[in-house]
Amino acid sequence: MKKILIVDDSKTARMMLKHWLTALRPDATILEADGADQALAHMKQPEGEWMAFIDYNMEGLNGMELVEALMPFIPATRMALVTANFQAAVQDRAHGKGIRFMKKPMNPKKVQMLLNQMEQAEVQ
Amino acid sequence: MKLSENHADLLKETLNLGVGAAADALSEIAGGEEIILTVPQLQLMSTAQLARQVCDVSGEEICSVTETFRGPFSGKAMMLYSQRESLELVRLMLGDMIPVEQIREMEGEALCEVGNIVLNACLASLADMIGSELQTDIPELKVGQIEQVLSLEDEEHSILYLRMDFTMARHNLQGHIGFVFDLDSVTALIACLENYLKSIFEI
Repeated sequence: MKKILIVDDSKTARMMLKHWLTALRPDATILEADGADQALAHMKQPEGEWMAFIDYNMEGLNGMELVEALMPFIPATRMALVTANFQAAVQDRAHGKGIRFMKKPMNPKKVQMLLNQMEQAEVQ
Repeated sequence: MKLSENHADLLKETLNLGVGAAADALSEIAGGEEIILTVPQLQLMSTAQLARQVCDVSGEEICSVTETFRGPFSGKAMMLYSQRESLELVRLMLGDMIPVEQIREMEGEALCEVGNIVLNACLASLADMIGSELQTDIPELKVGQIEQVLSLEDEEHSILYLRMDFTMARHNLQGHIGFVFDLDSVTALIACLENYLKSIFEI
């Protein structure tokens, strides 16, 4: 079963991403989280083939700290940092961990591109 | 404190590039519509003067998204527009994704996200240019009279204010993006920019 996790403190951002993901992957289960706590709570039922779209600037753990915490559950190549904070320093940190990076604002094309890359990636 | 002509020019050009990235992001949100930017204005003034200036322009309740940033220099980046315009902007972004009656409910939330994208685009290009990192806080949305929105604690406090107006012609939408720097930070910012220039000319 395909599970896609959207982590963003903005309800708007989650809503838009969910809208596009539902259209592109109608069979996947799409789960939302407004931050690290909710995201990690979803990991209590870890079974399934996971992908995650994660925002960077959030209260509590930031996106990269959350990526670390999710590593035991989701392969790095199946996680993407999706943020307006596209500073080279942030992008480098993401690439250093082997996760993908996409600059907001999102659109269906960018979502499709990330899905393709994540689905084709080798899982280490 | 007085800014030399060269320093003022350097600051304007740098933030101009940042706002260019912001306009690009805004245009993408609005489905590719062109955003027209004015030439940036740079002013040293007190916070009270800033309030008067912003008030003169809008004359009604305003809506602002503010993001505080810290790094080699710190300050606040703001996006300001009138209430009527903010709803229009949200409509543009969410388009046909949700029913019209829900748009008003989502308005505050959605505006924060617009502000977040636009201001971060601007700050990220600025940080990359000077080769350092800026930490940004979570965006904060405020609606009301200008004094409340700008939360002026000390009216005599001196700041450097840089503003650029943007217009989306097709939707008759306008607002402005502003940066507030404390004077201490201005000195640090100028030092960063001078290093940046030096690095370019030395290569």
